[in-house]
Amino acid sequence: MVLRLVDPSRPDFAQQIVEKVGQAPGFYRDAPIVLDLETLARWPAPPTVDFAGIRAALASVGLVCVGVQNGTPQLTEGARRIGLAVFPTIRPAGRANAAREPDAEPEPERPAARPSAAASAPSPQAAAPSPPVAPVKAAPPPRTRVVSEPVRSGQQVYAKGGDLIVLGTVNAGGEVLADGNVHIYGTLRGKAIAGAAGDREARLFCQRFDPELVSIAGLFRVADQIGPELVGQRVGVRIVDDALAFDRLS
Amino acid sequence: MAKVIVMTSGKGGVGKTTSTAAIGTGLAMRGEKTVVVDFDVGLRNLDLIMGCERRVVYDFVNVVNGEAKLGQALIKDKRFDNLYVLAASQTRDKDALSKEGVVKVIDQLREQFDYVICDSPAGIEKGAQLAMYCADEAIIVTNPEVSSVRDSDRILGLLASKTLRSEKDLEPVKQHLLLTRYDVGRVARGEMLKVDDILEILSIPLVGVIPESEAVLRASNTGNPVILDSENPAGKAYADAVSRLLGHQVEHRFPSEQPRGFFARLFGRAA
Ligand SMILES: Nc1ncnc2c1ncn2[C@@H]1O[C@H](COP(=O)(O)OP(=O)(O)O)[C@@H](O)[C@H]1O
Ligand SMILES: [Mg+2]
Repeated sequence: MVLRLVDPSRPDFAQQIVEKVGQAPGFYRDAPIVLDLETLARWPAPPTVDFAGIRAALASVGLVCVGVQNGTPQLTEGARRIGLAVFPTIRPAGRANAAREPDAEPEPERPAARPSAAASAPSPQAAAPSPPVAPVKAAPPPRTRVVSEPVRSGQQVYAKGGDLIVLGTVNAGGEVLADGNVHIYGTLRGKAIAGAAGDREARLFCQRFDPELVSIAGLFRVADQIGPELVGQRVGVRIVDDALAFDRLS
Repeated sequence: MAKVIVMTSGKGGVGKTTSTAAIGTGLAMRGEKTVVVDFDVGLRNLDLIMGCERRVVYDFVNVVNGEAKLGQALIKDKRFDNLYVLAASQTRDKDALSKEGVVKVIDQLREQFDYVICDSPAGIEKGAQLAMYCADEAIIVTNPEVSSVRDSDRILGLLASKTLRSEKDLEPVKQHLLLTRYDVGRVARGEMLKVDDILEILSIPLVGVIPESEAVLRASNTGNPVILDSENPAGKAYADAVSRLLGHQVEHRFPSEQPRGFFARLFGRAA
């Protein structure tokens, strides 16, 4: 989910995040956070942001700060230096896209900026994209596993019971699996398996598509069965009518 | 504080031993007290390339097994008195080294040297894992071809899980990519991978690009590490790599066949 930074120069900034999140303890546990810098980027003289401090404050309440978006190079430099991912500028999903995939929400929604607060915490509605199937009552919140290193040949990463977010690449010979969705922000050259425990609603998204194999809930395709027109593209994979469907994401 | 560096690749014949000799010698030339250690038990190559094969009495295996003292097995280089070689055994088999023994000897070397360079055998099995086990830093030796890049990727995975640093949850092994046998003509013709493509896959910082050069074979045959030849492009490229290892900013000097913006992208990537 996305946290928009409004005024990190306020001395009680970190405290504010902690308080906001503390209002809904447990709900956000282990959730990956992307800091949105759009508001700061519009400042006449962009402030220096203590990303390490923000990350520590978020970590203290169980949130994992994974990256930043919509910043200027000057702003994002500090984030990059402490190992945060710098995501490409994200625009709200276009209508054409939404029409093709009515229930798709690959990008997290962002809450409106609240100028009065130093940081606007995400509201629960914004944080939780409506699940395609109604969740079983009292089920524990799904866990999301975030992997910030490249997944290399011979390595396997499994997000049991939840989603997997890979910030880098999955190289040939590497394998990523999740019981939920798989998101890959780098190139997928290896194998990716979503819905590993059989969830047919699970999906797979990746920034650059060049896989050895993709699979959802047991349905799979190997590289030879994937059209060359998809290679190198941003691609989403899901199950439609008992078959894997590949969507180019613009 | 001594640094232990493993020269590793997965794939054989890519230039690990050549690079160990060159970089070890280069570090000594810069005043660092350096030892190069041959982990390729059963083959014993490093002493040849270093030009000291006729002076080997005791070797690394003898020391690890307690059959000789470290001081008896360290061979002093004839050119630089701060450079030493610890040779492998030709008569033992691959399983002659124990992990505990290796850790003990490397710890002893740490006390005496600034740099300990471990020349790994090929493969991803026990021998290669022993060579990387104590490493603080790793030089991943890679040729510009798909199989070598794939093996390097595999080795990078092992570095993240099979080393003392990973076991003890210390800061991870620092990784450097060394591209060797880089043939600009063949890269331009599309027969070999471009630097950029390799960096994109492996995503680790580049410490040097060593061109393919006949001088390397000549140097090996005479037991003079190629870095001693300051006129030769491969020798120069190794000297630059040594500077970068020592923390100096050196531009990647590189043949002109690359498109504009090449250097900028290299540096942009080397985070
Ligand atoms: N830059 C180079 N140019 C030409 N030949 C090279 C170069 N680097 C290594 N070689 C040759 O490649 C072969 C393998 O090198 P070596 O260092 O023994 O590899 P490894 O230790 O990885 O098995 C040797 O014959 C060596 O002379
Ligand atoms: Mg060798």
